[in-house]
Order: sequence, then structure tokens, then C-alpha cells
Amino acid sequence: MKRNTAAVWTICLASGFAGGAAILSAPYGAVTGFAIITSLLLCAMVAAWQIVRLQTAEIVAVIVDQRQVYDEKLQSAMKQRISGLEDFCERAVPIWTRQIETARAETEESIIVLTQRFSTILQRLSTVNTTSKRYTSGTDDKSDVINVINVSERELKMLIDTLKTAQHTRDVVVKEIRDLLCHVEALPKMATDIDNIATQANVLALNVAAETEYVDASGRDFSVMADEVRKFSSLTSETGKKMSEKIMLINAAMAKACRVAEEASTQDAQVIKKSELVVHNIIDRFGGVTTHLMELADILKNENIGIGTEVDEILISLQFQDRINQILVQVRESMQKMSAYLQKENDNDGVISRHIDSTVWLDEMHGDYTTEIQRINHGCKQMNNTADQEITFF
Amino acid sequence: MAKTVMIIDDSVSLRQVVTIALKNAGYEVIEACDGKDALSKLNGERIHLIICDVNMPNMDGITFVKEAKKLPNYKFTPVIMLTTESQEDKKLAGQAAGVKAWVVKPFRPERMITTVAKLILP
Repeated sequence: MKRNTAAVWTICLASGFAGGAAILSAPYGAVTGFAIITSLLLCAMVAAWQIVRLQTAEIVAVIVDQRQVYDEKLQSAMKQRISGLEDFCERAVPIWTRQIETARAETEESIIVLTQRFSTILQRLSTVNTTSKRYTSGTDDKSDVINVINVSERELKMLIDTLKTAQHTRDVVVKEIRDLLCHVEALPKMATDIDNIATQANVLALNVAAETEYVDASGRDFSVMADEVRKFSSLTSETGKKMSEKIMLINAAMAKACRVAEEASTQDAQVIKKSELVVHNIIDRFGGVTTHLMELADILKNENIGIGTEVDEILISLQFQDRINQILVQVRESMQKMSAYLQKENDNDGVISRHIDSTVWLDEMHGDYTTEIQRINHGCKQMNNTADQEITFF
Repeated sequence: MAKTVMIIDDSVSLRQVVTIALKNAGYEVIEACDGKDALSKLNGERIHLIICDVNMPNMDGITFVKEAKKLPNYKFTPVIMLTTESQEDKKLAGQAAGVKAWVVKPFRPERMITTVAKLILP
């Protein structure tokens, strides 16, 4: 700056000397104040023009210098930044790709295992449901628990009825014996009557024998007949007594038989009543247990159906893996594409070609999407509600 | 005799879910992991219906359907696309290829079975 100022002063002085020389060389008469002023103005204008020119040149030089420095710095910075980014991307993108692939593969493997296990659970539940239905719905006569109990109850009732019939038959026999006993009771009296008849016949025979004392020889035959009548009477009396004894024995035996039969009938009645009670109790208990089992079976059946529905829902939810897989595959392939591009540009070793057209890249990415959520994440508006259009028929 | 359904999907878990649902409903199932694999398994075997994903490696679903429809044995075999894609242009491409129904994942197995029963060949 000082150098430039000195130059300006030098120019001014030179201009002043030039003006003075012009005055001294001019004729005296012509030397007027106008000429002096004009010379001075001329000197000043020349000096000012020189000053402006020098200052402008100086400013331009400074600007050019600074631009050069700036360009050098900028170029250097750009080179360093792109070079670092490329290096990072070249090394990092394959790692990211592998990490994504590992996450994707592990998720897929786990989901496959989960799906298999849930499928097995579903199949086992289905088997349990089928078996439960077979045992509770009565479709299989042999294994239907309710049916078995109902049949058993019917058969036991039939058995009780048979026992009752047998008891009734025995009661009829006892009644018949009792009626017979009434008839047998009349027999001793009849035997007594026979004995009385025999006694009277004997008395009659004795009287006849006494009367024969007064008859002649022609009437002695009556004595013989009286003896025979008396013998017959004795025999009849003995027979009557024997009959009476036998009747007494028979009567006693029948009475005893009747008593035993009545006692047996009473005991049978008690046994039947008790058996009936036991059978009813057993059937009631079985019924209670069966009802409880049926309730439990119903609960288990409903729970099985509920669990089956839950597993169905889980299998639907597990389909998320397919969507995640597609998203991760797209990201991985996009990163691989970027990595390959950077590698290619690096091989070219050029600076000017290091340009990424983000619009083209983003459009390509958009074209690779397979799900609505990817497009929404990309920034697109939601086009439709897939839940409402799960199935479309053509 | 049980009817046969082919399921084509590159996702093993998805194939499992579809297979379980179909087998529980009484169908025989043939699995394939992509369009190319599926074409190799269409060796004249009687297949009553095909369920196919859209985005798969080696050969995508739409291309597979076009190729399958060229085969005399499978010209009239109904195809259900089972995919995450729900865009109209994709659906139209499927319809043009001869697809009968478009099911968007995630799907409910019972609705899939209803759809299969509705479209399957007698």
C-alpha cells in the first residue's frame, strides 16, 4: 500500500513539474490564471486516474489471490471428503450387508422353526379335539362314556326288576302254602271225628255183644259180627290217631316252611331294597362323575378350540417375517448396488465423474419395492387399504 | 381322492403356513420355491389349483403364470396370487396373465381355504 502511495505522489509531482514547465514555456501575455488552473486540474485528474487504476489493480490482484487460495483449499477438502466417504462406504457397506443378511437369515430360520412347532401344536390339538368328540358326542357306541353308563343303568334296573319278579313269585308260593295250611288245619278235626265214630262204633259193638247173651244159638252170629265191628272200630281209631299224628307233623312242617319262606321273602325284599338303593347310589355317583367329566370335557374342548384359534392367529402374525424379509432384501441389494457403484467410480480414478444423481437412485429404489409400507416409508402417500382388499377375484 | 394344490413361494415359513392350512382342509400339497422350480415340477402331474407369490428369485410369479398357461395340461388350472403387492398395475398384470384371484399377505388361512374351494377344479 505504501509502495502504491509513493507511486501516486511521484506521479503527482511529475504532473506538477509538467504543468510548471508548460507555464514557463508559454508567452507571458498568454499566461493567464485560466492556463494555470487548467494545468493544475489536468495534473490533478491525471494523478487521480492513476490512483484509481493502481488501487483497482491492487484489489483485483488480492481477489484473484484469495480465490486461488480458496479454490485450492476447497479442492483439497473435496478430495479428502469424497475419498474418506468412499473408503468408508466400500468397507462399511459390505459389513452392513452381511449384518442385515445375518439378521434376515436368523429371523427366517427362527420363524420356520416356530411355524413348525406351532403347526405341530395345532395338529395335536386337532387330534385331542377329535378324540374328545368321539368320547363325548356319542358317535362311537362302544367308547361313548355316557352311552355306556346309560346302558349299564338300564341293565341294572332290569336286574332289579327281575329280582322283584322273583320275590313276587315267591310271595305267591308262600300265599299258596298259607292257603294250603288253612286246609290242612281242618284235617286233625276230621281225624278226631273218625276217632269219635270209631269209639261210638266200638260202644255199639259192645252193646251188641252184651245183647247177644240173651239170644239163642241162632243169634250167636251177631256176637261174631259185634267182635268184627269192635276190631274194625279199634283199627279205625288207631288209623285216625296215626292220621292225626301225621297231619300234626305235616302241619308243623308246612308251618315251619311257610315261616322260613316268609322270613326269606322279607330278607329278599330287604336285600332288593338295599340293592336298589346301592344301584341308585352308584348310578347317581356315576352320573355325577360323568356330568363332571362332561363339563370338564366341554371346558377342555372349548379351551382346545380357543388355543387352536390363538395358534391360528400366531401363524398369521408369523407372516410378518415374509414382509421383513422382503424389506431387508431390498435394503441389502440397494446397499450392494451402491457399494458396486462406488467401487466402479473409484476404479475410474476421476474426480468429475464422482456424481450421484440422487433422483435416479431413489427412483430405482422405489421401483424395487414390493410392499405398500416400503413405499410409504419412502415418502409416498398410502394408495389403498390392503386390509379391506385382502382378496380380489378376477 | 384328495385334490392337489401347488404352492410356490420363496419364503419357507409362508409355504409352511399355506401347506398346513391346505392339508388340514384335506388337500395334497406340492411345494416349489420359485417359478423355475415350479415349472420343473409341472411334469404332467394333475394339479387342481396353483397358489403363487409374485416376487421371487429366478422367475417371478407373473412370468411363471404366463409360462404355465402355455402348457396344455395347465392351461385351465386356476391360479391364485399370494403376495405383499397390492398395487393396481400389478393386479392388472396378473389378471392379464390369467390369474383368477389376488390375495394380499398376510392372509387368514380359513379365507384362503374358502377361496381355494371356490376356484379349484372339480
